[in-house]
Amino acid sequence: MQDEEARLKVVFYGRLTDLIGREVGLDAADCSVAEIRRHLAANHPAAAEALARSRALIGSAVVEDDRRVGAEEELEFLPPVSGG
Amino acid sequence: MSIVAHLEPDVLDPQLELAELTEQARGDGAIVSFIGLARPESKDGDAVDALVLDHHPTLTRQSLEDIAVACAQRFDVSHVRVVHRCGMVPAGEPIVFAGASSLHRRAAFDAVDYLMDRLKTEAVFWKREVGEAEAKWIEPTPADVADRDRWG
Repeated sequence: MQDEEARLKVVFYGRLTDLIGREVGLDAADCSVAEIRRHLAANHPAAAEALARSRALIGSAVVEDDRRVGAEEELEFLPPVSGG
Repeated sequence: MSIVAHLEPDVLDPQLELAELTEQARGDGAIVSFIGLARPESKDGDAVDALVLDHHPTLTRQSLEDIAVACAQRFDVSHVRVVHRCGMVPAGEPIVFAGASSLHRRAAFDAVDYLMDRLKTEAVFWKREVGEAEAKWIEPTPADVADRDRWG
């Protein structure tokens, strides 16, 4: 996975925005959500715990870690919500 | 019956929201409203300048609507109104307005109590206190969860 060839967009919310940023682009065609989680945690060790506690969503629907992500899809990681 | 569930990025004017609810509630016998304010102090006693509410472009508004609709279905109310801020809310300013009207007062009291208990735990926001101490992300407290769980 090369971050330079930005194709898959990964968007973050809450504390993950402090730890990683609002979004990153990954050349991660046909990777599973689990592989993307591991890649992000390796590149952002301080975010590893928050990533592990976060739900993964594609198209505003929760996806499991074995879901493979297409290059043109947008993956989102949502930490547990704070409530209002 | 009307249900308003609005995500407000700029200014929340509780007087205006109450006036609109009052206008809608003609024929009802009761209006209950709640205004939540951004607290100027953290749980640890540090001064807080502002709350920053990060939100999701679709799921946040959807969560407000789901909670308002569930409230309208559960209680004998005529109108339900939820307006919630996102973005930066300076300490002391309104962060949420929750209101309901009904023929008799008990339903409106219960409806607003229910709205707030669910909003405090389930609304899709990520809150951060900005101020004296290092910026801190907030999660629901066990008391918030216990309050929500009263409703089954």
